[in-house]
Amino acid sequence: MKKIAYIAMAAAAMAATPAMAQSASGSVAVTGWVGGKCTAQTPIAGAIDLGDLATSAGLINSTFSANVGGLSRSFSVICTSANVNITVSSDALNNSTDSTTGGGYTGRVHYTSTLTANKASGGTASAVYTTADVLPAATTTALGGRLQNATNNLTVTVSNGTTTNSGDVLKSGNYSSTILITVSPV
Amino acid sequence: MRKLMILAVPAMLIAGPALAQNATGTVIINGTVGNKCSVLTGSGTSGTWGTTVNLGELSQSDGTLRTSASLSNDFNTVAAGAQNAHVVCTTANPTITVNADPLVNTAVPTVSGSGYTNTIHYQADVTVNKVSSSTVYPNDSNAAASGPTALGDRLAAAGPNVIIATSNWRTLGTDSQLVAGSYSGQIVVTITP
Amino acid sequence: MKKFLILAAPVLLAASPALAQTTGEATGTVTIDGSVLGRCMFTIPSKTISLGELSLTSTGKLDVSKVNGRNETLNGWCNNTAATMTVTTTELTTTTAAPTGFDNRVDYTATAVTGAISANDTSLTAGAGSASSVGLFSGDIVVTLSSASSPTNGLMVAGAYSGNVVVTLTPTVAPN
Repeated sequence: MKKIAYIAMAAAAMAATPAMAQSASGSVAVTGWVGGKCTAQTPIAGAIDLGDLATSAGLINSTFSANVGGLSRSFSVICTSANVNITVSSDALNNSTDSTTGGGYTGRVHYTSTLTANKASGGTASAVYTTADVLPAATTTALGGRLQNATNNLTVTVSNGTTTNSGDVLKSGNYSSTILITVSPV
Repeated sequence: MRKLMILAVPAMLIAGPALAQNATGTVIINGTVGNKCSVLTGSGTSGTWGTTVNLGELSQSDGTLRTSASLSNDFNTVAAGAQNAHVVCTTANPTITVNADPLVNTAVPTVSGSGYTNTIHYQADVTVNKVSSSTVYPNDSNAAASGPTALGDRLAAAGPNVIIATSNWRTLGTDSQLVAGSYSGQIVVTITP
Repeated sequence: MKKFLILAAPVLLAASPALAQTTGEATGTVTIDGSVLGRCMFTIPSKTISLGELSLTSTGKLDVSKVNGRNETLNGWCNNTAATMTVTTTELTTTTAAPTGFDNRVDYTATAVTGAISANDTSLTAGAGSASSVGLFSGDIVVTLSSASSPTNGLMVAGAYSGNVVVTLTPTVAPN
């Protein structure tokens, strides 16, 4: 009877002892990254037709109410970064034949471009640019967050037509301007 | 206890392709200003201007036409500026046409050489102020309409810039006695862009 | 260092049609009117016919030859097609009363003629003679005396005699 009891104890003792085989291990760290990028899902391009720029008195129609097709254009942009900068600038609307100003007449129309981006956190951020005879630097605004992941999350709107001297009569002809838009990851 | 050295394998920095990109684009804005001329009124704009000038009694005590000086002066006094206009054109070289019609008493026909006449002639003198100069565009009521004549410059910005006066009021030939009745004529000035 | 690739987005050039309008004139019309009043005027408004001695030396009665055929010329004009001319004749009289067998009055007819138009009046009847239409005219008006008579063909009372002939030119009122 002592034998049985001994075995049992031995078994128990053995079970309580951890395996004593040695092992070596190493680790491989795996990393990757996604660069911040912004990509236009629809081209940031288009045309806005302001129609007849002048009132019946030959002065600038400041509301551009004769426009055909609206004063805004929207685009779909995807940005991967946690913060996004939007930048807008343009030249003035210049008469293709004679954009000079003098004698009560002008061939140049100034206007404002408002670039608005929808934020992922809700709300919007805007960059506003108004032309002048000496063009200011481009306007850049940081969203302070991610760009909304949705279509038509970027909109540019033109407004507020003016002439260098209020009361100048607009010279007849075709007028044209180009708005430059940039969306950059931060 | 054996210590295990863990070999820290450095993470491999994979220089990937430049993956950060801006999205950029341009939007073209177009507009036009049509060729047009308008009259600035006190309250807005119009395509026309004008007035009626009543010169009253046209003859003097001997039945002949009043002096040209008195008729020209009365034309300006009675019209009191309403014959003038502030015209705005968007074009660089508008044209002008002037057509003066004589004053005629259509109710009483007369015979040339009878000593009597029912027709009074005059010259309409239209002064146009332009950006760099001022020019008078005349038309005699006894001649065809003048123009269209290019102004050669933009209209002056300040108004009135189209100013109408008259001169050389007269009857023709030896028919100097005016028949009684109502006389009427007109001056029409057209500015085309 | 992050590198940035700029994606050049395509630029759409929208060519707008030339919208220059060729209408849009400004037209000014100044109407001028006036009027000429219907008017008549004498440029030579009065003349005097001096008849001299009215009686015949032989009989003391009216010498009609001193009156008949005597004339003077006025001058005037009318600018009105409906103008008329009338003559009003007043007899020759003197202030002295005429007893029976005497006359102190000479009646006569005066005729005013301009061109082909004439008007006349006799002093025997009061008031103007009939109007004649002269219309537009300018020129001499010859006034001639005729048909002289005395009421009883008696002896002419001595004294100064006077009378007159009034020629009236009347325009019809013309609208202003």
